[in-house]
Amino acid sequence: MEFSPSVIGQMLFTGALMGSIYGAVAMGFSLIFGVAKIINFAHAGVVLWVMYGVLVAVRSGVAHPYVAGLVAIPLCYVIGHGVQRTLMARVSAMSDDMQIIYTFGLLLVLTYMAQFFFGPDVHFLPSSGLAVEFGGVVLQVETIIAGALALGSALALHAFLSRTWLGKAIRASADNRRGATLMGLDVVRLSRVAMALSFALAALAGTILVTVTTFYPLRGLELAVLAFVIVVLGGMDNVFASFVAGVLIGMFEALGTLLFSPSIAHMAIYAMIFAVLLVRPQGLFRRRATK
Amino acid sequence: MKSALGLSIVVFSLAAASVPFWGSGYTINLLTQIFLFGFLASAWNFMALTGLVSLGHAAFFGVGGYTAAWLYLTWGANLVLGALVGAALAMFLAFVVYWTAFRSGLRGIYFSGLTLVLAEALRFAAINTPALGRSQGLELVSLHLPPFLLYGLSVTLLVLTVAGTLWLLRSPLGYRLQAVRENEDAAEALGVHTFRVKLAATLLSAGLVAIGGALHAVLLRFVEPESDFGLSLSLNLLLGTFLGGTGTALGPPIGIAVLFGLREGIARLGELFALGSSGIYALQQVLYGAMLMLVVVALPDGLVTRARRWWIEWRRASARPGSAGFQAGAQVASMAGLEAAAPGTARATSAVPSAQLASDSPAARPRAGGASAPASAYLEVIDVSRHFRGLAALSNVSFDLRRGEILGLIGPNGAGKTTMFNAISGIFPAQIGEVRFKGERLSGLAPHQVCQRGVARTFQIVQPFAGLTVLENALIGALSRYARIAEAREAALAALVQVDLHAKRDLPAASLTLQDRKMLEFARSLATGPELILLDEVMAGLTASEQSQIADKILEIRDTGVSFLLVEHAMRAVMRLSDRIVVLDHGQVIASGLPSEIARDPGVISVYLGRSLAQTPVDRAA
Repeated sequence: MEFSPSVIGQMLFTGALMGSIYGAVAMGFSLIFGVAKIINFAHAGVVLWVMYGVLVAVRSGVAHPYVAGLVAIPLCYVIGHGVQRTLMARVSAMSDDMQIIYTFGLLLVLTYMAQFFFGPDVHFLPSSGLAVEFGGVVLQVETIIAGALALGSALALHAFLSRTWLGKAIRASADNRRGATLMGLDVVRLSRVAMALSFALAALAGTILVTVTTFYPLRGLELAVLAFVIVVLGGMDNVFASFVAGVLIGMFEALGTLLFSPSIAHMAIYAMIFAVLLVRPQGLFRRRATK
Repeated sequence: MKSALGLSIVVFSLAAASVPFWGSGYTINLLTQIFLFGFLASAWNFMALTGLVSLGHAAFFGVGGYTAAWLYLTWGANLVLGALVGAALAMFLAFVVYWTAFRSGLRGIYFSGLTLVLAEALRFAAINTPALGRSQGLELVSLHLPPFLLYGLSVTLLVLTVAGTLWLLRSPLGYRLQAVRENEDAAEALGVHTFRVKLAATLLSAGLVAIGGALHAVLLRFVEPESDFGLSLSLNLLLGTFLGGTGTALGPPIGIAVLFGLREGIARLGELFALGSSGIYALQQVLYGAMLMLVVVALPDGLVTRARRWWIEWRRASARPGSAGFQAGAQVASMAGLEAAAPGTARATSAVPSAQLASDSPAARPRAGGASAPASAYLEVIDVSRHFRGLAALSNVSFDLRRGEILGLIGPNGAGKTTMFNAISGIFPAQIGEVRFKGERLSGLAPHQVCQRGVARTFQIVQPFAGLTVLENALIGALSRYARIAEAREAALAALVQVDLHAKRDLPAASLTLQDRKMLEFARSLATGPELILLDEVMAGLTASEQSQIADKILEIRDTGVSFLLVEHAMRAVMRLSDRIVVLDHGQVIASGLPSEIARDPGVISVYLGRSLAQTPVDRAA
């Protein structure tokens, strides 16, 4: 295979766009960790169920994927709110280890419920076939839309967290839960909003993911590990850094796939995260916190 | 309790040995798997004893299985040899990874994530290695073993590990592991080499899991990336252990047995409703997930611990009907905690020893008497500086403490008093300057080494090992100088007598009042046989009369030859106790001298005291 500039450019662009979708998955994970101090591995399970939901809607001729997504986002927002009131209500008081075990349990339930109802088969949506070409790089329209939506949501979330009162309140309650409570912030309510937002992000990520890739039940477990990996790279609680780390991982994956094979690319990613965890557990983009 | 457990192990072994005479092939196969996974979960438990949760033990499992299979297929190597080589490799891998992880201090999500990523990286490595059969794995088709061999092996391994766990829980290493689980910083300060203890537990766990992996490969006659390195194996071991009871000897195998029972039940139901193997498998995994959630919320101690507590309560209730007072409740809690941690310690002592025990007890004798060191060179702090980023917490602090002296270290909040303690005890070593004790450098030593050189400390915020009993708390300290449990227990009891906690020795530390916790903190450091004790605000939060009781204790213990460095805000106590006082402000020594001089020093009055204490009657207890 010839590695012409256009092939490499193609891989980098596709990788970056795929990576921005990974970033969208990871952002929700990072948001809920950073804000409610909940390590929610089940986040990827929500993404998975949105994918199956959109698939069912499209297959049965009810709606176009994007329309289904428009319904899924507010629906998941409400569901997230309810989940924080019920399933997750006691989780933030648990130790890290217990949270990991609890949400892994939930992830197993979600993943294998999907396998039980939809079977272990691989599914995908038919592509529109539309593509855009520039300078020898061909990109599918769905991929471009997916990347744009992911980037847009990352910017919007960043702006929300840094500019609006609610966003600042959420960050404050993450930074110092007791302090925020003493300042009169309703930390419990804020964590419900954060969980709802992370569910809405999961819905967005699921919708755009379903338009560009194949999927199967175990994708839930894979996405959970991937989201964790990305979030570690970006520095657990920094939402925008998670998005950037997602893009990096996507490009890394695409290059590895081009030069070797997808599974070697994955091995390299895990090896890299392994090194990051041992050398810079605070993430690539952040200075080490003082003790 | 001990003999009952021994008996049940013998009964279990006999029952297990009888199965080949009446069981069907299916029964034998299922039991082999249950015993094998019971063994694996027990091995996982060794690491969990230190409070570390691994999501990636599949890494070691796979290394064991793949090594044995590959050696057998390519070199025709003996499978036992293969398993041992696999165990050695797994231990080496664990050593490299965890050595680095413990050095960089990974915790919580980062640590679990690291273990998870390790297994995943190895899974993809196996998929990418042609010599290991890529995603197909390796098949051991030509393998023929005598019947019941694997069954016998898995029973033996299980019995040995359970017995080993029972023994470990009552060994010095076992107590150290539990101390690390309860509170790593406090354990370190009490002379526990936490790094080595964690590494030992981890290596043991990894090696045993690798042997189990090899056995599993032989049992199934194949190794394959997903089943050997996959997440579900790690989660199985975790769930089994949590369900049965982390840190108990019987918990892991019982948890695994319950899980396998449920799994078989679902398989039967699935066949009844013709769900197909994929549907059955999915349902089993859903059940596992739901169990994980349920255990965390409803049964965090596990079945065995819960059952034991019920049993003890039931026995109490039937022995003394109608009396459910506070004392009985506390007693029950203590029994439960004690039995979970270490069966047998309850019988350690019966009657309260007399004061005579206290006077010639090991705790009262400093480790190395000898007045050979010159009086001026006991503890020397020489030009110590410590910065946190731009903030100078200590700059050029020098003072010394003479043998047998009580030196008060006072100053406003943020003056650097606790940082000074941390610099002496090795938690945040001094960046510039040095600390010497009896002429020997303490700078650069780890906290446990400082403790072993005779300098003990207490923490400002009391940090008892809440899950252990009062006696076991003191025992951890005593283990820093006695290798044998019996001797260490003597010293621990003596230390408890010194602080009047002897009567409460079997209560769980979590049930103590604040004053008693402070006393326990004191007793723990006494049990290490210190020559110098650093007391960090031991009076804070106590009433005046409690403060004066503690002050009396300090004087009493000083008379046995122990020196004290005292950080304290309770000025009356400081004035009464201290032979000399050093005043810190903004990380610098602004005054030092006799209490009466300090009380009149204008500089000290302006930055700290606020008004002169010259008129305060310092000779009377506050």
